[in-house]
Amino acid sequence: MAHSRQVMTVAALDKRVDFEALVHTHQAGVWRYLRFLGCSRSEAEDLTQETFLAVWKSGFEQYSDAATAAYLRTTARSRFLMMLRARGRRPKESDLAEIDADWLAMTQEGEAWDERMDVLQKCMQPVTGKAREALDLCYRLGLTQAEIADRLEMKPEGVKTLLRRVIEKLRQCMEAKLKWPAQENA
Amino acid sequence: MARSRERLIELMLEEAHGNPPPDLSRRIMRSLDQPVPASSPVAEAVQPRGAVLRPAFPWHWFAAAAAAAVLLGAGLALVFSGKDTPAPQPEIATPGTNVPVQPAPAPAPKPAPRPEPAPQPEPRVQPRPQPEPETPQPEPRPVPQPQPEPEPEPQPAPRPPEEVERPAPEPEAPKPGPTPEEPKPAPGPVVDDTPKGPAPQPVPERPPTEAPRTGPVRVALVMYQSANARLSYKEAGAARFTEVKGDLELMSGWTLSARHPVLLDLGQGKRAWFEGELGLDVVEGNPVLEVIKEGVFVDALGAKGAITIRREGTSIEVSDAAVLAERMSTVKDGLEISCLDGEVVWGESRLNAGQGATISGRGFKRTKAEGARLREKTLFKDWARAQNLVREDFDGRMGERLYAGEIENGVVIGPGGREVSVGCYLPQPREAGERTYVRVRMRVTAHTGLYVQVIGDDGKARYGKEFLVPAGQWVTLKFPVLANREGDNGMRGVQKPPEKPEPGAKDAREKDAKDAREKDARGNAEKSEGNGLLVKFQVLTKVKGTQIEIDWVEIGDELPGK
Repeated sequence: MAHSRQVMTVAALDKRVDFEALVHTHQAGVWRYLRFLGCSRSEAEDLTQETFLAVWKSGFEQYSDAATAAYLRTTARSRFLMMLRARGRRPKESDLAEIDADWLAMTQEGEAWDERMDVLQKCMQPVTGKAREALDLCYRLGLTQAEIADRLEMKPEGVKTLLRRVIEKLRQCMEAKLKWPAQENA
Repeated sequence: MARSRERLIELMLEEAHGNPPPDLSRRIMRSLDQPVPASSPVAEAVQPRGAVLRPAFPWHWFAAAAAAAVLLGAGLALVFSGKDTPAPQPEIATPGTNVPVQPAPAPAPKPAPRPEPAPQPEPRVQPRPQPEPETPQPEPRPVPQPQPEPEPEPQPAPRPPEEVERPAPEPEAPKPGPTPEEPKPAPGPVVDDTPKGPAPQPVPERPPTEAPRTGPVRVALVMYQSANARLSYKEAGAARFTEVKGDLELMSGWTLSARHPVLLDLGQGKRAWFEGELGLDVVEGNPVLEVIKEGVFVDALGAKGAITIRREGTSIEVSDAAVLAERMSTVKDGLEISCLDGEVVWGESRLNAGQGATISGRGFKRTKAEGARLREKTLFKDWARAQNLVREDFDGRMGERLYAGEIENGVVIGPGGREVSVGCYLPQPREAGERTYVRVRMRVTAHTGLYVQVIGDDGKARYGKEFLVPAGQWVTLKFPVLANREGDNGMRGVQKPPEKPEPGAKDAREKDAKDAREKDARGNAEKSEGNGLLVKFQVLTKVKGTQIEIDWVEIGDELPGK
């Protein structure tokens, strides 16, 4: 009896260790995916946690990294939808499926996240002056467009336009450098 | 698609501007054993749907037990109704008595004992009487393969963060960029005047080079364990971890595991603060720490020799620096390196104080100036919290707290020959205890003697120490606070503007000593008994023509040894 309990304990420990490795490997990806779906940072944190908890409780078995990533995304998307519905929102599943397909297409285009980050850094090098400042204030300090406008002595609409143009330029640069298929502007 | 790409770029911009995904591993692993707190907004929001998480409480067993209890009670009521039998006998609970199900049975004399006590599960589970069916959103099944989703990824799955291989291997030099902090020069020696006290016995000096090892050698001793750290070790080849008890010497070839941070003395002034799992080894007399889980913060400022931090095929050597190395979750042999002080060198690449980068077998990547944000990393914050660390980085956000000196490029600069060359109020008042020390990193332009001082909130409790600092080198000075109370240490410091225009350093010291003697003569009433609140930090030198630059100052408590 004691022996069987010990065996069970070791098995449980092994399962936990495996799961911890899975969390280490995939948590950043799940978090980014949730952010891409539209979660705030804190929502993404909570939903990432709930996603892994659900996986833990579901008796999940890992077959391959790709399958695991897909499974985690599905679980995360499910949590995200439930959160929206609980808040009284009725997201169209088709919209979400479209966003999901975009994510999949982009993440299947062959580059690792780090590589894309390097390309982005290169694309950002020519961005200088007010545009660079606006990026910094927006994405480093998290200021609102009104606050940025105040600091840069611009109109909020001007900041909005400036940021939109910078991001558009960055997209074009990344499309060129990463050889993403050209897209018509939405 | 264009909008999606721009959304992706926005996310990447956030990360490029120092807001990477948080490391949720610990939070997730800790939450496995406990339900999601009801205070979690998402948990609250999702809970009414009844399909978020199955509660940890085994409802189906409880329901079965409760049903059995009701049936038993009903059976007892049937058997004993109208009889004088004093008490129900346990034998009555036969299968036959369980069959009739009376809708409203008479109350049994004693409620049948339930296998479980009254339901008192976790508060978040309580509102839900029973698990509801899943929400319309199809809950993913445990086995991933048969997902109906349109995303069966091919095997070389381009998982964005998990990708390991990259074609461009060359290590990057630190990017100049608009950095709030100037990369600091390599640090110089540490002048440490802090008595180690009752703390841990030092690890004996190792010879600079070692003959090939014949067996395990001592690598470290435990200096301090956080509460519930549960430090354990596993010898090479062993299957299980064993709890570390007493002053166990930690040997090469061992793997350590700790749930909460543990401070290790690596000898020769080197220390490591780690949690997770850490492998120990020794190469050429220097400790080698293999990051297996979580991370390690090593402080080798002013220490002899180096510490090697390793993960898989990646390793960096840390000497005369303070570095935080955390396991990267996305790259197999990757480490996230945060250089808090000094400099880390990998091949031709360097990482200076205030910079962070990732490193894999191909060198540094994504080198960024992070400045004080590096100190927001969890492991370092735990370290700072354990020491009650109060730190001033002179990063330009001081406002009126700085009353002497000027901030330039992340250091405060003050000329010699003034009453106070550099002076500031601490970010928050700090108690001075038996183990409290002051540590400051500075450079002077001319070889000079200077006085480092901290002052209590009443202005009377003053502690300080005089140092001789070589010119042109960054040095780290350190002294215990209470042992250097002015008056006791023969110094008075410089508290008032000099009466004469040019008193000279020697005259000033004589005057200070005289002041101190006078103060002593007035009795000990004015002396602080310690444990007062420290509020100010000052550096003073009477030598004109020199300039003092201070990178940071910190006041903390030495961690008690076992």
